[in-house]
Amino acid sequence: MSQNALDLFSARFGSAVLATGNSHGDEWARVDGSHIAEMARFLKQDAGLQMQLLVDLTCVDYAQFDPSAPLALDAADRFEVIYVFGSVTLHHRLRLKVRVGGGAPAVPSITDVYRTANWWERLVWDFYGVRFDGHPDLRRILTYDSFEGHPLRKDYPIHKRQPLTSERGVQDLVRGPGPGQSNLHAPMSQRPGARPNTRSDAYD
Amino acid sequence: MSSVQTNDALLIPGLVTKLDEAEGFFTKLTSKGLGWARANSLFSYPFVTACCGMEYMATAASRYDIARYGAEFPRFSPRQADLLMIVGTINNKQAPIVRRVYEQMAEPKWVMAFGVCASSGGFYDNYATVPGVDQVVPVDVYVPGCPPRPEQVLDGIRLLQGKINRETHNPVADRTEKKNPLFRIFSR
Amino acid sequence: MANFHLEQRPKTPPPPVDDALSTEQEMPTEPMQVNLGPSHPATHGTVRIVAELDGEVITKADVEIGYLHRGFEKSAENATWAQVLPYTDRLNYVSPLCNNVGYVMAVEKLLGIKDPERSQYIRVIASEISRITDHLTCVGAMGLELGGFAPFIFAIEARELLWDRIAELTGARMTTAYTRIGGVANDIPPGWADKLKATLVRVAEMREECDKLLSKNRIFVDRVRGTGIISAEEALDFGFTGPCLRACGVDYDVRKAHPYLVYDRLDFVVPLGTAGDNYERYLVRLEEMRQSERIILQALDQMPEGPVIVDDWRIALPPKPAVYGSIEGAMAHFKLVMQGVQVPAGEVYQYTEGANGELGFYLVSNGAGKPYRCHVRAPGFPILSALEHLITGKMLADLIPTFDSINMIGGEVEQ
Repeated sequence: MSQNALDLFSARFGSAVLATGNSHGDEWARVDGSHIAEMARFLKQDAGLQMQLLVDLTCVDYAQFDPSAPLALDAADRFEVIYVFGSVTLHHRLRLKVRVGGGAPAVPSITDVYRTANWWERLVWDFYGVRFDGHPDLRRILTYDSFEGHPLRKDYPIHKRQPLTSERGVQDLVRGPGPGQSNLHAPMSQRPGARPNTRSDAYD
Repeated sequence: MSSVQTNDALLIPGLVTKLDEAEGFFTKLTSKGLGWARANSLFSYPFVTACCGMEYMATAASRYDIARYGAEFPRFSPRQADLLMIVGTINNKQAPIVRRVYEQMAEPKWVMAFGVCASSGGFYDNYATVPGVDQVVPVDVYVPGCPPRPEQVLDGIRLLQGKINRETHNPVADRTEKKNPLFRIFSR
Repeated sequence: MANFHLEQRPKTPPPPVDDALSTEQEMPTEPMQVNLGPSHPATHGTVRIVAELDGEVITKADVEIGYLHRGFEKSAENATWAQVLPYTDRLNYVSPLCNNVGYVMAVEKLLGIKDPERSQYIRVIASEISRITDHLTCVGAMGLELGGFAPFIFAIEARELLWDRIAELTGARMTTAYTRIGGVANDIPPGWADKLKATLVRVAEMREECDKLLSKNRIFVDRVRGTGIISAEEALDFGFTGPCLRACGVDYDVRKAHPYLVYDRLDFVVPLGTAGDNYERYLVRLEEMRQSERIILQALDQMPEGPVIVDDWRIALPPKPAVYGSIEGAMAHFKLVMQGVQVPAGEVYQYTEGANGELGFYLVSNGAGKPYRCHVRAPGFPILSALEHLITGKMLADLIPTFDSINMIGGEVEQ
């Protein structure tokens, strides 16, 4: 469908394009991450491509893709950051894939090319721990600051719970931060202060 | 001073005085009256987070009218509400907010866990969610369903109304001290 | 099949500045920080906006989300391909069938199969009904939060009528999980098509009632016209799709640009706005409801007879007589339920036009019965990221209609 776009792109960035292909009708190109900002700018501004829309920016953790041969947790190609670009005028799309890894995976940010990348990159940072160099405000977006770990990595167990945290953000000068867990396992009637207006055997 | 009705009549039958009888009678009358009033005029705070909010909107709208149970207008200030309806999933980031809102409500207050996510976490059994809002606030009535049909919600309201009617209500809050002897007679 | 532009009434100029009041601007003031907290009646779902105010003007706003993050993507990696379906209902919970259709189409793209034609028509009808319910909720909520309770009641009643039909079709009012990999769960019940046509007539009445109550209402229009303006270039830069983008004048609808299912056989118009403000977004949604009604009526007429799910027992559950009557049926049923559909390794990005914009599913499979990665490109996520830009420098009172008209649904934005 977008073979034309892929050809224009490969022609411009010959050496940085490591592989191309067509998967189920979508053209994709695996590229070298260090040039991603330049590539994004080209895709947006070139008259033959006109990819005004950054449709999606996400990441995949390939650590357990092959269960019989899992990757090491700091393998150099563990994470793959996916960029999907689309054009609303020429109706073609292109998918760029960047492999990163190592102990502190990082990719240049494309926030100054597409403003929408701001939040998408924060999402990838939050879930996978892939840093975006040059991002104006890289902080967690869906989890909270005191969350430990990056939940969508394959080595993060799904049931690992984080403690209920006290409130963050808005300063409460009178009361201070909110409470944590309290008295979880007692039944209602034995929780002090729970129901002062009722008889203690009215519930349960 | 407790709100449990002491029953001296059981201990020393001969010494129950007419004053005690009168006190007990008036207290029970007030309690029943207050119970009826509070049950039939629930001001709800719908703490809406997720999909159950749509069913809450449906329950509050014209077809499954929640106004016929007196719980018509949502009061979006915890100070003015007495029923905290936790509608939808509570996750770790939201839990302190729920606790804060619950603590800001004035007595008497009740909590309804609307939907399975609020009752027990639903099928979101992962790192992000709190498995049931009763980990954070005490819950009075659980309305399961994903989302519950409005009829289920109204059934939950009816159960809660029954519970409120069975409770003992005082016209004066426990912590205040009234110097007026009349108050001391008519409340315990 | 031209796309038409909505007419615009000339705006009255603002009153001239009174010199006597200008001394007020010289008074020393401090910026005030206001927290539109996560539990707020006007936030659909839970968003916290910490706004710094200078008088009534918002100078800085920080939009914080994450209060409804339910771990959809992680849960999807631990469920079989079919078990992910109920999770998708709860993404955009006002148009659940659109999510179901989008997810299942992505899995089918990975498998390389196509569902039968009757199922495609049913999916189109279901998606359009969901689109109508989404727009009804948005329009009703906009009226409600700007002070009008009646349009909300009409919109919710219209939604109830449609939910009655959906309950007859799928079994549930809201969280339907109706589609299956390879088709849909069951055929439409007998007589349902006529009932749906009657319901659409009634829904149209209520929708026009909402229209009459709001569209020319001075109170409503004064608050939504000219507020929340975004230009087409900025909208594209922020990743807008759907009604919010079309209200800026950009003619992009996935149903027309990359037709899927049977949309290329159906005749409908994509409404466009010009100004990109809240009023245009509201009008675009209202008009899209009318077009959806048109689509449904055409689809009901054109729908052919036939099966509603593929006849491949490695993908779709065998019919019950075969499950109970033959060994192969029982085995196929067992394998499908216990191990899930074995989807060959690969990755796919499949996008459909959800009610809020382009709803995309990026799926990666490693050949197992469970998704290796299931990412949802929620249309509300980039639109919400632009909220900060939309309200900074504007009045605090403009925040409410802006937030309503972008129709952020917490479930999809926060997955």
